[in-house]
Amino acid sequence: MSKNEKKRILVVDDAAFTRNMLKKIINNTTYTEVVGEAENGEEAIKMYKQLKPDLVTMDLVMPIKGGIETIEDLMKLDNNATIICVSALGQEALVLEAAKKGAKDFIQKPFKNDQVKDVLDRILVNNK
Amino acid sequence: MSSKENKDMELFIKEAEDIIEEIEESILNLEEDFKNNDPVERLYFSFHNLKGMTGMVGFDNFSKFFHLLENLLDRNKDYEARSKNKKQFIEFLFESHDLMSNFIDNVKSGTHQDLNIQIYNELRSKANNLETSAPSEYDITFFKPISEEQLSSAKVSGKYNFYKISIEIQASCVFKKVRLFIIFRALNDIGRICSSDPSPNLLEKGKLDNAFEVYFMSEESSQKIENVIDEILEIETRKVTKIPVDEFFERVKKFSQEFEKSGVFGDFEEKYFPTSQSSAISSQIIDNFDDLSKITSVKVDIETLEKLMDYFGELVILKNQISQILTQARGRQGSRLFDDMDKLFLEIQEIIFKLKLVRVGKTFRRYRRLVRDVAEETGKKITFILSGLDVEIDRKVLEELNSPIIHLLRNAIYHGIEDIKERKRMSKDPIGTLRLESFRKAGSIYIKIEDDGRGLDYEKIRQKAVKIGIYSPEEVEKLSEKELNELIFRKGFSTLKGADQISGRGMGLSIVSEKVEELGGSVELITQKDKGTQFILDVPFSRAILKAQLFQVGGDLFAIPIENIKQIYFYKRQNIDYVKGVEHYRIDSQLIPLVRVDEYLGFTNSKHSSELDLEQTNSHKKIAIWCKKDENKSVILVVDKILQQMEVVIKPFKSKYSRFRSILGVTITGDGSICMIIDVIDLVSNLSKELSQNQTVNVIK
Repeated sequence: MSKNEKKRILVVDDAAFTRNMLKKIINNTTYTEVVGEAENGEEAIKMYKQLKPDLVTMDLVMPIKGGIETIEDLMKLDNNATIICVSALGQEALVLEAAKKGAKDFIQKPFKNDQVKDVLDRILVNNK
Repeated sequence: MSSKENKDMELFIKEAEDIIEEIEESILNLEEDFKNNDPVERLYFSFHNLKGMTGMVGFDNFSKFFHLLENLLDRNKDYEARSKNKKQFIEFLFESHDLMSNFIDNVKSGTHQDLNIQIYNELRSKANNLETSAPSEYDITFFKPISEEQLSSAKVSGKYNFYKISIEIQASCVFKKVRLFIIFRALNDIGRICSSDPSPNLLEKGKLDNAFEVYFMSEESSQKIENVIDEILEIETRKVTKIPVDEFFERVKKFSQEFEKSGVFGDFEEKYFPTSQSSAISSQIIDNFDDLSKITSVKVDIETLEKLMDYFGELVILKNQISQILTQARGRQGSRLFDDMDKLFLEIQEIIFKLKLVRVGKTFRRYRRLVRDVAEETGKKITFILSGLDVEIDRKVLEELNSPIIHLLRNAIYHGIEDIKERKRMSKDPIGTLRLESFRKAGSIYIKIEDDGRGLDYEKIRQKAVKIGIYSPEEVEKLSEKELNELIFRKGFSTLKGADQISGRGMGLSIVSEKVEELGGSVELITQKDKGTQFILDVPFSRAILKAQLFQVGGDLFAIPIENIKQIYFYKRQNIDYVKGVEHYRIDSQLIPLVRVDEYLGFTNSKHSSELDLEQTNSHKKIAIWCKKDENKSVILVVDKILQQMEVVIKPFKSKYSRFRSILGVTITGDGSICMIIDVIDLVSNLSKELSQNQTVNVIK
């Protein structure tokens, strides 16, 4: 796959640490790259409009604008948006809510490299 | 550990430290205003983030612990819920905070130890005692049972295939309910889920081992169904099998019958096969190009910043040298270019200065915990007022000021502010006020710690001074309040009888003044009996690069910071006056102590008399520089020759063996010679100390 065909990913998480981990994994494949990082839902929506990414990873608990609300707005903006929740232990109700709002799938923190790669493979590469 | 992992760990520590600091502030805010839900929400976010972060670097027990805290806050979101046990709630949060803070300190020092499971269990049972309510239930609804008639009409139409889909979810999957939701949703998009095994009622509650079967009808091929399932995570195996409609009916019959009774069947075609009409609202706002959200700040560690300062300092020195060469070469073009570069240098310098600055607010807020704890300990009630939080200060200076400020705050509570009884008796507000304020004035940052307590007891100070033998009873009565103030800053001086139970240090204020003076600052004390005390710390804004006046004494180069210069005169012999044997210089009607730089620093051993002789012949050449420490204290420096002004980069000049007093540091000038920068503040204070200790003359005002 050539460079310009890389799938473009927006990472949304208020913890720089998590963003960093995700970025490392995503940028480490030949077919995906992080094109934007947002610290909260408001930023995420602005960046989504701007960047039109192929996939969004979404933390659910964030200040200013949380993941659920953001997913709802993103889906209104683009109901083909591919959003993957990044959730933490014990947030089943929240993740379910996110799925109901239109999140495509979810992974759990702490995540392993392989899990993230698995998402990318399944959702981005096999699909399109 | 690889360097990459080290980097991760560093980032982890930095972020965790920030979060933990926020946590403390939130707890304090919550304690002060327990009805306010904002701090609870903040705490929730903080714990949530820590949970994820600690989990990712492998501190599993801590991750669990933060999970516990997160849940606790979630359950206590409403004031109603938490109102029952404020004290325990707050104490538990503080306890947790301290635990985290210790934990990060340990990680920082290289001890990567997870939370002891026993401690975790204890904390958990504590948290459970605070527990108030349980999380609510929820449901999933993708099952669309089908009636017999509907099924036979579907069969007749010939459009549909009937499937048994066997799916096994990965054993590691935690959120089974959500996983099922996602699977069912995906299937629902391309067909109709009619029943399942285990039964839909059980599956909806997430009750299954890992494997289940669904009975599914769809227009799509089994290949397509498989593809759809393959996009979903956490699926171990999946098998899509076409089955005869009769078998299908057998399987779904029971569930359908149950539903038939409740009469919830809807219109078959319309409701359950909403094929492709769902995108009516898509892509309508997409090309709305807003302002691009930018990342507005990055974190830089202090070490890097220091390095940047150092290198920039070296550059400035090189620049000065080039300037020298250019002046000698008199190349016009070169100088013009150089002037342009010089401007850029100034701009960069300004930026670098800014980088080194931090707001005092973040550090100041930390003192709230200290004040709270000390107040609690002493049983006093205190309103702590912070102001000037946006004042910016060199981060190193702020770090250095930490312990003096803590000391003064503790002192204010222990010794300044009276207990409630006493305050009532004095008809003062039973709640004491403690104020921490910062502001900027001229080249200095001022930090004021003010209490409305009992003020200094000068009588006690006098008694103490006599008791420890500094002064005789007669002498002590003559001391002015100002002199008494200075006395309490002396090493080993403390007015407390016996051991000070709580602060436990007899060292007292000397530490404060020493530290502040080390930073090139000074401490002022204003006190009024029964009204309160103010300590005002005054520290220079930043000291790495400053504008200085160069001058020459003997063959040596010196400089003093421009900000310390009041005026420069031609030295006139006739202005010299002696006050009790000490040389002073007259300016208008004032007599100002005079310092001959070379003598003072011990550079020359010239005898006074011979110097006087020399002066008489050369006096027209000498220069007197009037330097000030502040409004009240100043000194005249006598120097040989005044040179240019320039930006100097101060290289610290510290040596225990150094016999030079009052030297701020050295710098290298354009032509490569070494120049000593005189610390006027230190010089003036030394001088006034000497003068007052000699008891020959009081400091001139």
